[in-house]
Amino acid sequence: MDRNKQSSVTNENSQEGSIQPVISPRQSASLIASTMLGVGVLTLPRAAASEASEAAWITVILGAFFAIIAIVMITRLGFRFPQKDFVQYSTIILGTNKKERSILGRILSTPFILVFLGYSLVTTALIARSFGEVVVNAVLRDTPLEVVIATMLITSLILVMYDIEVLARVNEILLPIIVIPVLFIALFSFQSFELVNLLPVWPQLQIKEFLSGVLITFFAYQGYEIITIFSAHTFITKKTLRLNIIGLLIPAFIYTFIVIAGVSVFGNEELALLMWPTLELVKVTQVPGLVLERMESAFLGVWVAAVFTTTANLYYVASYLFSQYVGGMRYRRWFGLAFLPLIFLISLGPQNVIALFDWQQYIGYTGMLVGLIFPLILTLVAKLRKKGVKQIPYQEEKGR
Amino acid sequence: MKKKRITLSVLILLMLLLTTTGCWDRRELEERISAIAISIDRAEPSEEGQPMYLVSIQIPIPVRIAGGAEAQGEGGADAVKVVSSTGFTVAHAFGNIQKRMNQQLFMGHTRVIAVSKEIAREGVKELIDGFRRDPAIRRLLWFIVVEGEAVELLRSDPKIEQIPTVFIMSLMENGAKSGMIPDITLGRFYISVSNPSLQPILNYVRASKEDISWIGVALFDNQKMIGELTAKESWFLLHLRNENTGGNLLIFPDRGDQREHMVIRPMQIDTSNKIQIVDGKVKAHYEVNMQANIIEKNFDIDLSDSKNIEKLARVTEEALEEEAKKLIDLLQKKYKIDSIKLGQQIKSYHYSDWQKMNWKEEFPKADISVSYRVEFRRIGMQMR
Repeated sequence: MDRNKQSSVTNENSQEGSIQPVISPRQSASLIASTMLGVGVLTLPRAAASEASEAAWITVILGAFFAIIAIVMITRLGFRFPQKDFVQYSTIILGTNKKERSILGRILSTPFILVFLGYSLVTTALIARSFGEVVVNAVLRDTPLEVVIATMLITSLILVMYDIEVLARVNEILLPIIVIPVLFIALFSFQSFELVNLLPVWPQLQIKEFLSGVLITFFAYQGYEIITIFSAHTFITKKTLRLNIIGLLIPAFIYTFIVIAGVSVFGNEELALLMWPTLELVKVTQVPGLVLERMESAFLGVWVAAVFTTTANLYYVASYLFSQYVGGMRYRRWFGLAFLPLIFLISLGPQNVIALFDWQQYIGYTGMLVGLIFPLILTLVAKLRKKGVKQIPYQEEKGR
Repeated sequence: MKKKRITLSVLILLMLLLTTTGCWDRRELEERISAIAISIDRAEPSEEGQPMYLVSIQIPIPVRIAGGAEAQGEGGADAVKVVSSTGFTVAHAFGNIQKRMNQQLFMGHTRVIAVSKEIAREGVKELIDGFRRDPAIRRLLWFIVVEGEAVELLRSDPKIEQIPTVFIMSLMENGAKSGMIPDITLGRFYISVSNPSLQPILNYVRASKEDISWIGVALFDNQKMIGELTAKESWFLLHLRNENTGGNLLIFPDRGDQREHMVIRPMQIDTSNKIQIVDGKVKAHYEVNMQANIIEKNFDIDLSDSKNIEKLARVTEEALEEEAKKLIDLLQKKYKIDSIKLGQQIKSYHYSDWQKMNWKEEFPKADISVSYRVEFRRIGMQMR
């Protein structure tokens, strides 16, 4: 009780200085995992197979490898500046040595922060849109797209209205609800598994095709950037880095599993023709002894939770980034509310699903910038200028 | 304090109202018309000479189904209505059918899609495009080719089931379960059409006024039907594809005397193949391991002697090898089509050779041999 009170106070005043950590390493892992698991689950098998054919599953594993590198880098950067978020430490790293919030630092960090802000806003919008497209296409065919998107965004807004600690707990609770059914379905779809579809292991691939396959799967791993913000609120313990990596390995495992299932059941040629391959996988899966003949409705029900955690987390990050940037942390909720119409309008931007996929590709490149290039630049500059602490200040997790 | 509490509870009650609104696009079951089977035939060309499709759907009539409130219907053809309409494409024809319907057409319950042999021979690619796009169409429904007019299948009334489509459905499902009928659903057909190393097959059905029967398999070259196999040939095809056991086989142990025969029931099939590729020449050997039961014989041989059973197994092997060889010759010489999934094996296990060759041209030249290994497991309740 006491701690809750304290945390809410410090969250509001985090502008002034140090933030009290409230997120346990395990919650940090679930934040990463549930942000990653979203619309990517439905499209990844097609995206990977149309680039890398039978070798799709290798690209997924390689994509995970790059994502691990990025996560280690970001987590280390967070350790270097304990209890500082992305806005704060980029200002310190790029600023003069005298003050933490020097004018120079604020000016130089502005492009980084604005790109990150734009990225999180547009990604939130595109994920809500993809969600809408699937729902309108597959289940609620007469419901207006706008209503589906608005429902998802308003639900996310409710979570944005709460403190960071609540967000972390919601993610922790929802993660098993997302992971277990998805694994269950992937497992059952192996009933029509055909090994020949996965062979040859290495089809005659141009190395360029293969690398673009890796890039596409790397896009599916995006979402881990959120810990540049949440790491400021996470306890720094010896487990933090390891659990962050586990947070990535959960989606990596699910993705690999689903891609293998998709390629082995459909073959890569058929997979390339399917708009939502995982949904089709669910359609051909018959679970013996289950009451539901059509599994896809049940699957979509679970998938709503996966999309919700993704949109809500990114939405949260957008509102946090902006309020930290303008220095009005106590008005974060109002900024969140103000972003709602903006996100809604962006989500209606793409003309159709195909345009939506194009937009997702562009935002994927921006995500590379935010999740890979920015941390790399900041880490290098911080090392060169000897900024931040040298010894990682491990903390005790209180009351857990 | 008390006032506050009252305001709060009123607010909560008002918010509860939001949960009572129901669905946006709610549609009751009786507010739509379910097409449980679809058939597609060739129709007379339009006035401008454009080819037209005749699309028919079978619709169950809820009040006529026995056991309903009035219970006056006796089921069968009375319980369903077959509606046909022509159109330039399938979707166009559906639009024309919709004009004659008082409720919205719904394809989510469709269990059978039948095309006539004539249409199948012209190619089914443009037919399945619409089905692929419609999220309501199941991938697990039965896609079949009908000898003659496909609409006959919808009009036919076998009387055993209340709704004729249910009869077709269970005929296929049970046949696939027992191993007689290849388990080829719409989704499987999609896959084999899009995979360049596979050639599709579909179930081939005959329908008359009161009878529906499975008569074999239609062979496809990509999306065009090019021929058909009889039931017996289809079973050997299933053996070679390592998919199913096929139905009961009639064996003549004494070649000279056609009156001596026995019936065996294959219980389990396990086919393995060895492929050798030398200078682009494919040499493939199939080995079919079959476990079978003897269910009937009409000649004198003492089966209580295990040596005799062994002898019968050898004779059976020879007979089966001969039949399988005939099928392979038929595929290689007459149809020139690799329906035994050999191409897929070559692509998966000999990829570099696969890239060098044009399999469509190589297949008729390939050297394919078959050997059977039969083990009789059971001879029934009689000793001799």
